[in-house]
Amino acid sequence: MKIFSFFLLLILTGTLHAETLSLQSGWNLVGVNSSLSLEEIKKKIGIENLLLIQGKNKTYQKAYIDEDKGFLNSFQTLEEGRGYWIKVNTAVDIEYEKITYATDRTINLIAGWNLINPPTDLNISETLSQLGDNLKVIQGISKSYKKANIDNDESFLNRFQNFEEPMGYWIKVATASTLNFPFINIKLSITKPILTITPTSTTADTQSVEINGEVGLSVWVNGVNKGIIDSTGKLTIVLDTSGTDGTKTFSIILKDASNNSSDVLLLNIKKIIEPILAVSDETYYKYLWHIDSKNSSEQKIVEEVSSVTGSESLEDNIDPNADINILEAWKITKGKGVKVAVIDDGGDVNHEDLKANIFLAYNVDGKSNDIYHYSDSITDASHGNNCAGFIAAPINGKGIVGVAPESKLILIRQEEEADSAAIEAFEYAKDNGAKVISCSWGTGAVSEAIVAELKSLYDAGITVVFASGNEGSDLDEEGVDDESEVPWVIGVGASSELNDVALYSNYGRNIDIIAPGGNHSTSVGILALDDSGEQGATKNYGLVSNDYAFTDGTSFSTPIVAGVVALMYSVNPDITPKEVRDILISTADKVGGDKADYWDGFDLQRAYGKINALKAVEKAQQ
Amino acid sequence: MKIILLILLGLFSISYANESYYKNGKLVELQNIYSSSEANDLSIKYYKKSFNDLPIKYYKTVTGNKVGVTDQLLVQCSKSINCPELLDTFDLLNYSKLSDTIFIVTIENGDDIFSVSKSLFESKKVEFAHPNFIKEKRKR
Repeated sequence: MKIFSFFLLLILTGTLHAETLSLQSGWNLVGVNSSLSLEEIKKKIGIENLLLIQGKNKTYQKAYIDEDKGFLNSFQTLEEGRGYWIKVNTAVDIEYEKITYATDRTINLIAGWNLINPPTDLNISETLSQLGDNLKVIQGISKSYKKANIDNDESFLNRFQNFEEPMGYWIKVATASTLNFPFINIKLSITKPILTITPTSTTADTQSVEINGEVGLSVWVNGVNKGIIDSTGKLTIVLDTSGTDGTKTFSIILKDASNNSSDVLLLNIKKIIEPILAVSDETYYKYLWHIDSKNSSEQKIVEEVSSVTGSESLEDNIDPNADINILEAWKITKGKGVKVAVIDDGGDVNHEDLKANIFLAYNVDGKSNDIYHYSDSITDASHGNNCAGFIAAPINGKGIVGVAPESKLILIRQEEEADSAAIEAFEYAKDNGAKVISCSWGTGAVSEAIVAELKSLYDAGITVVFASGNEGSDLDEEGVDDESEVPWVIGVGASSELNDVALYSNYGRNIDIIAPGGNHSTSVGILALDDSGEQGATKNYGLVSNDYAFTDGTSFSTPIVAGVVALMYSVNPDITPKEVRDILISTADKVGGDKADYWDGFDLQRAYGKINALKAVEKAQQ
Repeated sequence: MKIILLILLGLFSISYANESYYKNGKLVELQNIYSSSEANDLSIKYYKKSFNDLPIKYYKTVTGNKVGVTDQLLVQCSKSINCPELLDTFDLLNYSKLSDTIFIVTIENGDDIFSVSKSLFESKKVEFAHPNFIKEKRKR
């Protein structure tokens, strides 16, 4: 009950904080805001060390105890507003719980001398404003105020400025009066928390926020202590932004050890729930037969293209098996964490269906980051755009989708036709973390320096993919030394809408695999991403916007293979380029039916067959 | 008359003199076409006259490919060879690294690039030392 009463009293009057009182040997004039009892004081100072406590009308003397006159000791406890003389034998520091008052305190002064303890800080100006000429003397242990000094033009002798704890003071007044010690909100000037970056919206369930403020202050969010601002002047906190659409408000304040707080910083974060998009939500999904040929077949897109072009020469409908089994592969991975470089004529860095997945853009020719994207509306990089989109166009409800829609692109423009420029492009890709390099070009006369560079990339664990070309030629003919035939790369030919090799696809003993490239002279071709707007390719049949175009070629089979390789690396970053090739050719589908002639798994026109994304990814996982 | 014919023949021979370099250890010839109309048929980007401020001369390979050559070589030294030291011994001081092992070397002082290329290879201290070829790069 007593304990309860004590705390109730504290709640009503103030709060407690630990303080130290240093007592020198001999007499000490003290005034502490504490209710220490005699027994507690004895315990802290030591029975033998505490010689005397002298307050107004109340005293404790050890000598009385020693002389069996303890009954003369009237002092029981320190009283509010009263000062005391304390005499100790040897110097000692004692800890006590200081009461910080939360209301005004008043001390009644009798005429003459009063030994007081100031409950709060009060300076001489405020004291004089209350007591006026009634105040005659304030005498502290070292500083004093005397009205007589003023009267004698010796005010310079008055050094007293402020009542300070734990000092006791003698005050002499002419007549009885009261001295009011007003409650002072001693709140420190705490600056409102500052955010380095103020988030306004998020799609995530958490939002990191960096709070800047004075070192040592605690950060409170919606009434919950989130930690202390460290020596760097910062604290990073994580706000819970989970839930449904709408704005969440966070109240952030800083507090010091005395619970003084800053003004409130209100932070509003709008939570945006992004719709979960399916690949079938892509605007032109029905034309993406290399992704979902069954759907394209059912949608009868060949008939649709024929009707708008007036062409009657287009071949049969899309073969339902012409795709690369990518939808099943995406149940395992979409290529997250893998960087794919495209060395070509640049890219449209603001294209609606590309920009989200561009990691870097670099122009080898100009040694800059301008990759022939002239402005927001003009880009001259249609071939590079075509290729990049087949790799990493994201699932975003727009246009098309890439084979590895969560991979990231390094777009490199290299139009300069010197060997040294190509080596610079390869080195840039390697230095910036590409695991796959897609090259939809060739010279037919590869130099030793290029072969050496490709070997070094192979040894560095980077898979390079090259297009075989579109002349329907045999690359094994004497005099042909094409990049796609180099043993350190994956050589890629094209397959068509009919799920067989495209007739234009170059072939040879050193070509490894075929992948969808389409054939728009006999069918619809393959739908690619194009330069935004009017520039770029024009073959859109009025079926798709100017940001997209139907096209064909081994150029587009190549990034599709590069995308599948990215999927493989995403499930197993440690596979070597040799293992990548072995997996690709061992899991390829043997297309061509009766027209094909596979020996040891290899057909001259169809190489080791058409790429199968699911099987390749599954085997890469093993 | 004979003298005039001999002079004309000499000029013709100089203009169409063949050059050679080592490719995969074999000496291969390049036919000079830089003063013929064939050069203009090249689809190498806009029939460039220079690369890196160096004039380009055009040649035809034995397989019919057309290539441009400047005064730059691409060199990869054998594994045990200190490449900068080797280049210094050939008085080739204008070079830089393209990759960990491949150097691009600019021939100065009017030296013949093909002669330097062959000398380097015949030293048996390089894997290759061939011109920095400029070739038609075809999109596919």
